[in-house]
Amino acid sequence: MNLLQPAKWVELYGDYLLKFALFRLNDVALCEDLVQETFLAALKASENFKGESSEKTWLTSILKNKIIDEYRKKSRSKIVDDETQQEETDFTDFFEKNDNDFGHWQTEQKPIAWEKSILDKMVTQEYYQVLKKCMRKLPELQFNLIQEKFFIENDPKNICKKYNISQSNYWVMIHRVHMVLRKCIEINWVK
Amino acid sequence: MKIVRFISISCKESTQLSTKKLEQKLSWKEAILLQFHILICTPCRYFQQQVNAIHSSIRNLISNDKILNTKLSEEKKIDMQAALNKAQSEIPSN
Repeated sequence: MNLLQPAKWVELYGDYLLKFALFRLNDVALCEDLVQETFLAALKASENFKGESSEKTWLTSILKNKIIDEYRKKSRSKIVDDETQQEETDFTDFFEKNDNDFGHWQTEQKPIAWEKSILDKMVTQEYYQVLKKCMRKLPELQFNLIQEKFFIENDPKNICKKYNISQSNYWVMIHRVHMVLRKCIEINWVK
Repeated sequence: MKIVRFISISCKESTQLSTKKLEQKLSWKEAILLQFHILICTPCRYFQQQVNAIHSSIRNLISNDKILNTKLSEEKKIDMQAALNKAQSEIPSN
C-alpha cells in the first residue's frame, strides 16, 4: 500500500485516464464513471500492486479492462466474429484469390488517387471525425493494437506478449488495420 | 518470365511491405521488391502514399485531438477524491 498514493490519484491521473477512455468510447459521462470505478477498483486491489510497473501503467491497465467490459456488453454474437475472423486472415475481401496469380486487387477495392487538396485536409477536425469513426469500427483486438501502438507507444514485442499473439499474427492484423482504415477513409472522406 | 516472377511480388505482398515499412526498416531485398512493384503498380503506389498519410494523421490526432483537451471538471475531481477517501477509510488494515 505504501507504494501507492491514492490521495493524489485524481489530481495526477484523472485527466489522463479520462482521455484514455474517451479515445475508445466517446461518451464523457460513461468515461468519467469508468475512471471513478477504476480508482475504487485499484484501491481494493492495492495489495496486488507490486511496484513492477508505474502507478500510472497499473491504473491504466485496470481502466482498459473496464473499457473492454463495456465493449463486451455491446459486442456482436460469437458466430459473426468467427466469420469475420476468417475473412481477416486471408484478405480475400481485398485481393483476388488465385494460386497462379499475383494476388491482384479486387476491382472495387483498388485504391483511387487522393488529390493533394485532400491530403492537405487531413489535419482538419472533419477529417479527424472520420478517422475516429473508422477506427471505432475496427474489431476490438485490432483497435486495442492500434491504441497500444500509438497511444501507449508500446513496442510490438510487448504488445504481442500482452495479447498473447505471435509476431506474424501481429503483422497480419496491423496490415489488416491499414487496409480497412484506408478503405473506410476513402469511402467516407475522399469520395 | 521466370525473372519477372523472381523480382515480382503480389499487390497483397506489396501492401504488407508498405505496412511493415512504417514500423521498421525493410531488408534491402524487401525494399527493392517494394520499390520495383510500386514503380509499375499505380494502386499500390496510392496505397503506400495514403497509408503513410493516415499513419501520420493518427499521430497528429493523438497530439491535437479535442479529446486531449478534455479534462475532468473540478467538481468531478472533488467528487472522485471524496469517494476514494471514503473507500480508503473503509479498508480496515489501513
